[in-house]
Amino acid sequence: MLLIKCPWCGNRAESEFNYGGEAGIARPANPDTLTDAEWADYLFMRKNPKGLHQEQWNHAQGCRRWFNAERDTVTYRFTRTWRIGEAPSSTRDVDS
Amino acid sequence: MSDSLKRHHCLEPFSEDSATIGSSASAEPAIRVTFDGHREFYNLRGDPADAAFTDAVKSFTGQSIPDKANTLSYRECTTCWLGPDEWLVVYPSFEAGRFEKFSTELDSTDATAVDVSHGYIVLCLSGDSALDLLAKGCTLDLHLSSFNVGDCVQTGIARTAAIIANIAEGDHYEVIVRRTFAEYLAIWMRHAGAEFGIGFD
Amino acid sequence: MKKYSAFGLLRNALSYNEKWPEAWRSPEPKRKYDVVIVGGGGHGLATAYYLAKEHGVQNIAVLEKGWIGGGNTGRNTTIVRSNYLWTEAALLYEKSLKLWEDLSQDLNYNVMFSQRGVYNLAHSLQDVRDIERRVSANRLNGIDAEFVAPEQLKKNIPGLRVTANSRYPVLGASLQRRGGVARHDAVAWGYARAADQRGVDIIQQCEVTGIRREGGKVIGVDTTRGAIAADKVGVVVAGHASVLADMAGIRLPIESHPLQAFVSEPLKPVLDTVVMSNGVHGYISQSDKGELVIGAGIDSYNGYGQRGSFHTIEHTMQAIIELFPAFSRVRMLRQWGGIVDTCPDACPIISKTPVSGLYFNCGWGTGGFKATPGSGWAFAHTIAEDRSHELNAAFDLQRFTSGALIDEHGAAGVAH
Repeated sequence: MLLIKCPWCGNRAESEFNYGGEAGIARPANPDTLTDAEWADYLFMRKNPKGLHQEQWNHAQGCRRWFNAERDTVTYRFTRTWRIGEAPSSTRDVDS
Repeated sequence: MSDSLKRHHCLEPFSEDSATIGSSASAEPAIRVTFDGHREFYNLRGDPADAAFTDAVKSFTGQSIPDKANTLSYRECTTCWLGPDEWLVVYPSFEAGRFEKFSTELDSTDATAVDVSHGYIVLCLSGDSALDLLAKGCTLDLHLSSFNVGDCVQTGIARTAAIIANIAEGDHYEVIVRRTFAEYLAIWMRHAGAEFGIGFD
Repeated sequence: MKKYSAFGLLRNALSYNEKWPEAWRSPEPKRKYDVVIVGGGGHGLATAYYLAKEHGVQNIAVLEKGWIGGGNTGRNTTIVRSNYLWTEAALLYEKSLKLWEDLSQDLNYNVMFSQRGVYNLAHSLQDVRDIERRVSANRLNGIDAEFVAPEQLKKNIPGLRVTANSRYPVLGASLQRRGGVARHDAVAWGYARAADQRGVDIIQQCEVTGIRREGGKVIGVDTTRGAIAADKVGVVVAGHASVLADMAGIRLPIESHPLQAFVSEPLKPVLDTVVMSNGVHGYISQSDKGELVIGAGIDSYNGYGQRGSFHTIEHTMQAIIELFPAFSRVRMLRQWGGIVDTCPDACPIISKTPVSGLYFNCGWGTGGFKATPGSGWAFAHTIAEDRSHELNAAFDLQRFTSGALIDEHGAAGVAH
């Protein structure tokens, strides 16, 4: 069970959360002007890195807020979490 | 018309059927559970930085809304923190017209209140082993060092989403759950509490 | 290389099994190959085998960073079936199933393919409708499929709890009698031996660290054992597809997730078929050794760790006990995880790429084992001819741009 630090509620067990995939994917401002390939890139293509990954989580059985997290996809360790709309802290809580 | 009808809750038959269960069945059980299905619940959304909103709530409920995560304020009613812009206001009993008045109070603000009274029921737990029971189905650290009077947490108990409110000294806890999950959770408590001795009122 | 036979078994038994020759060589990598296959799992080895056998390619290497069959090939729950909904997917998996049926003879290696049938359970009226639809679709594609009513299910699978008043009542099931299980390690070993026999160099402990390109064309790979030149490179690395794609500057619609499985202590025969349930999220069969082989759903988060979270295991156990209450007292022996490469439409990618001479075979998600022969067969064709076979034309990377997705979330089943 992963221990996840909700930026509002603090450390909670993984079972209280839902995963929301890669973070920071901005919906294109003018979809009509995109090529099919650009639209496909927005819709489907993902970084899926082996290592640090910035991703979205929702504290479903808690405050029900979405937030951002940085996690190592090999060790699964969360290195930092931060609120939507804010910048991540410049230092990590733990090393990956 | 409906206000004059007696309100029933889904766990009344459960408490009538349930004798004390567990090792200490003959003595006073280590955990007592009572059901309270007659409270009023308002879901409140607003910006805590908006003085018009916080003042309006304070003038109506007589208390400030808690701005610290996972805490509650308690006087005539209980106000639980649910999120950075969301609270649950719980009145101990139903009073005709109160919600309408509260709602009117918020009319001049950007906040909203929704009467969700029919959605929730409270399981009141007391006794030495009440926390031990909750700990069996919950991943949170409920030790005194991290869970005290004035705290409330939203979490999962035996897979059920619940709010645990710590509102009084002396092993007394309120578990607020959706009505439709209440019977399941009560059955779970009956099983999980047997090792301590559990009685339902 | 000697052909395996009953006579050979006897002769080696008389010499205390000490004179078996090695099943494949372990050559030093050459400086250049016509085709380099990255990934020595079942799919990669099958690709090399069919390249040599069907397309006469002479100079092939399979590069494996660990040991062959040590990834998802050795970590899956060995289920084989072809009852997919859409024609494109059904035909690809059916090609694979047809190859399975003759595979032991073709490879001269017993892959222990056992057509013991695969049931997919329905727990709601909508499940029943979906399954009836899929059964009909399968039959239209010439794939054996039937709907089994609850009364018959009780007789066919005595341990299964078929009651109308449980939380997840069993209201019927689809049955593909030609489906079943195979011995996963033997599939890797059989393909490795057969490919080696046709001159394929299988190079283990050789990790690819870069994909060399020149003028939009692939020219080789960098590895932990030095650079290797190649005219064509086929990448079939399951959970690490995105990592290899990144080396070539390609973006994929793949997300890697942990997928867990377990086996119990060995029991006397109790379950002579394969039972899958999308509703409660579990699948189960019994191995020839007697172990119950149980598969979970994927863990929700991206992960390369070959392990998952405990609550996923708990959830799967609850599902199995819901279906087979008698198994509640069985002890689990081992638990492990693999890294599955999930695709948005639960269908694979067997495709050319924007880099000339570079081909990708990935996105099998939770269901790649069953496709091992067909996947290798189609990928070999794609590499050799530099164009898709009609069986995998629809599984091109381009479908994410054109929008012609093949939604197999229903038939792909339990996991994603």
